[in-house]
Amino acid sequence: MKLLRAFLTLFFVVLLVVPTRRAFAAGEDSAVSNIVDSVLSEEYAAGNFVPAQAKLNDALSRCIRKGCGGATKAQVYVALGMVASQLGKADEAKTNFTNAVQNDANAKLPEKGATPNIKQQWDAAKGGGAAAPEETPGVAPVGWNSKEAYDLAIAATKAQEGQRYGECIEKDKASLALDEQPRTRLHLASCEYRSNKLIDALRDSQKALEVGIQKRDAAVMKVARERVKQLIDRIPKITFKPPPGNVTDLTVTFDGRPVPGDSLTKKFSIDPGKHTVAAEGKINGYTAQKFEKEVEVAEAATVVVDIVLQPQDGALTPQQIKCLEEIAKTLPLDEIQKRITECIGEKKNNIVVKLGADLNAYTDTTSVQVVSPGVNGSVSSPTSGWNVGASYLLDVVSAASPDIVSYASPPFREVRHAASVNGGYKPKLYGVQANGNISVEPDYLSLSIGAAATADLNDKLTTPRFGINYSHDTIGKGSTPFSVYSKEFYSTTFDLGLTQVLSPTTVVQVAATAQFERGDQSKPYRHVPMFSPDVAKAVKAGATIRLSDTNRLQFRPLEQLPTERDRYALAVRLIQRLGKSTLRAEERFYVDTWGIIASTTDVRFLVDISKRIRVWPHLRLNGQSGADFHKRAYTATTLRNGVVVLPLYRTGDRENAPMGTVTGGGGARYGIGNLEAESKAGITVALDIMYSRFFDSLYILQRTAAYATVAFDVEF
Amino acid sequence: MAQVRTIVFKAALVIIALAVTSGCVKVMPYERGTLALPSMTTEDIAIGIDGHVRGVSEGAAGGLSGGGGGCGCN
Repeated sequence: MKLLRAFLTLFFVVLLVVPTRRAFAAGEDSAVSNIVDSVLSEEYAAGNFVPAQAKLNDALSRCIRKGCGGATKAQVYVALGMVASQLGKADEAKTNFTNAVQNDANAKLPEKGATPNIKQQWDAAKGGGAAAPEETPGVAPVGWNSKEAYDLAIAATKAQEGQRYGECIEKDKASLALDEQPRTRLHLASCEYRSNKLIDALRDSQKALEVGIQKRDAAVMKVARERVKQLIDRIPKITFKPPPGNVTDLTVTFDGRPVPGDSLTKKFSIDPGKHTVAAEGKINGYTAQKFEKEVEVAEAATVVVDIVLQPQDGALTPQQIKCLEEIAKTLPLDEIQKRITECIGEKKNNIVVKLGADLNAYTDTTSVQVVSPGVNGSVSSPTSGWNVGASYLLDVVSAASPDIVSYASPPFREVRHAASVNGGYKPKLYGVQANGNISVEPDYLSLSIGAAATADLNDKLTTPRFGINYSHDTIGKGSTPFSVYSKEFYSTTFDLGLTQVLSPTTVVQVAATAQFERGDQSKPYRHVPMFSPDVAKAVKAGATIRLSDTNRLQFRPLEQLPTERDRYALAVRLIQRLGKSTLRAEERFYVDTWGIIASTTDVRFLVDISKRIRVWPHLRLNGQSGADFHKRAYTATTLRNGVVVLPLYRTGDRENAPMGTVTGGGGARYGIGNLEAESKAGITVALDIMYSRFFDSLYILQRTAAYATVAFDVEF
Repeated sequence: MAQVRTIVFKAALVIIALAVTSGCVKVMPYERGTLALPSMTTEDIAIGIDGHVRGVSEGAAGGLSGGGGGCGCN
């Protein structure tokens, strides 16, 4: 009984399984057949032979694994043969066609998609027709007008197989230039699509559709239509949101190409991927503001780019500009500055560093030459109000002037070192400034300190200044140590000045100086020739050294100057802006207790030729009377007892004699680098020619000097 | 000496008069852009050894360039 039951069970299982197995195989045939139809109408028709081949190979594997019928296998082999033929693999095509015939003797080519070449290869494989002709070099295959175009299309297909889409595009385009084949055009669109060039893919798909319609190639038309529809749905869009406010001179570029201003809000079709949007414009007419953004756009997306202009190179933001515009102009300056700080905040880097170097040279007709390099620097904080600075200068002097020659001294060369430090603090309206200086020569040491106080009054339009300076000089002689020979000389100077803004283009400055010198500042190397009274009358201005030596008395005492001298000066400076030029004119009146009265006029006219270049002519006139004790030819008397009576004061210094000087020259400054940047640099050159006329001095009547400066400065 | 005192006295008068009358001048802060130009500076714009040459070639000293001193060359 048990045996019977088992047999029946097996019988029913067999009954159930066998039809199911058959039904499964039939379903697989249908599925594979559908795949083949799909590949032929999609990938194959679109010229995408590599993916078509891959799908067909998968279908064949599935077919063999799951047991398709011979007719279905033959259908797959036929399709594979067609693809191989299109890929230029004639042998592989024939092998596939042979396999198809072996699996199904009734196998045949599909009605669509079989090129004449394929038909020939099919016939050869089937054995019923003539063997497909081998490709003849230089002869275009059937259906092609150009063998070269065909080879390029095949190369494009292989490039696509290797995922070298750029090369694929290049080859397809070259092929199309020779022979417009709609399938090549579709293949090109396929490679472009894979390169994310959807716009180009759409254009070429549309072109393929157009050619397909012309050639009545239904398969191409079908694929191209679907491709166009897909691409239109997948192509992303971009639009722009212009910046708010009063924006002028707005320019927008997309990947470097300008976007018309009146089309910003329209939607533009673009390729997916990364793009750069840049914009530039002015807000409320202020300095150009910039915007730059990289956007990544996915397929089928619509992106809105919000253009937000940002200040460049420290320019103000629109919010800051609006804040500044709301400040009442009638407020006091201090209050305005406070509001400005609130609007724009304090700069993080509020330290200003200035560095400079210069090289100076002087020469004159009395054989004096000076070369003088110097460096200087300062650090200041405009917001905190403090500043410190220092400078160093080296003078190398070589001289063989008439004064030296008259004493039969050889020309000398001397080096002077001069250094200074200064510092100040002016947090708000009131400030102080101090300085210290030292000058060292082999026979002269000068030390000085000074301080000054300033106040900004009348809304910073009026700035009085009071300063005091004290110097202590030690005067030696030649190489003799100061411990062996030296004289002390003191000077105290008081300055009282006032700077007044008269108009938006006019500033005037007035300053008075009182300088009190105490001590013997007579030059220990300067000997003064003496003459008898009769001879002195006959000595003329400019009398030569030889003439003087011939007629002077035998003895020649040292110079002796008064040990007290009070010097007063009153100066006025006008600074006037005239268009793109600035006039700077100064006048100084001077008088001292030695009896010298002088007038000095100095004028510069600075012309801003451009933002980078400024030039100026310079004129300086100086005229003065001589000191009370100055004489062209001093007289000495020898008493009967042999005692020589000398004048109490005597000098050979031409600057204590009546004289006039005319200085003419000019200069230029050239700004280097980006003038809008915070770092500024420039080169300045200046040259002056100075002519002096001595009206009542010995040895020379005139002197011409030239001195020049080349200076470099930088501020950051 | 009396002449010197007279000159000093007159100079002081000029400065005081300017200080007093300057209250009449009103230049608004927003009108001061030109005043900030480098060529409008109230400092002496002479560079290099210009000042030094003046000091040794002119008998006068002082004024807007300060009271001199320090170089020991005059």
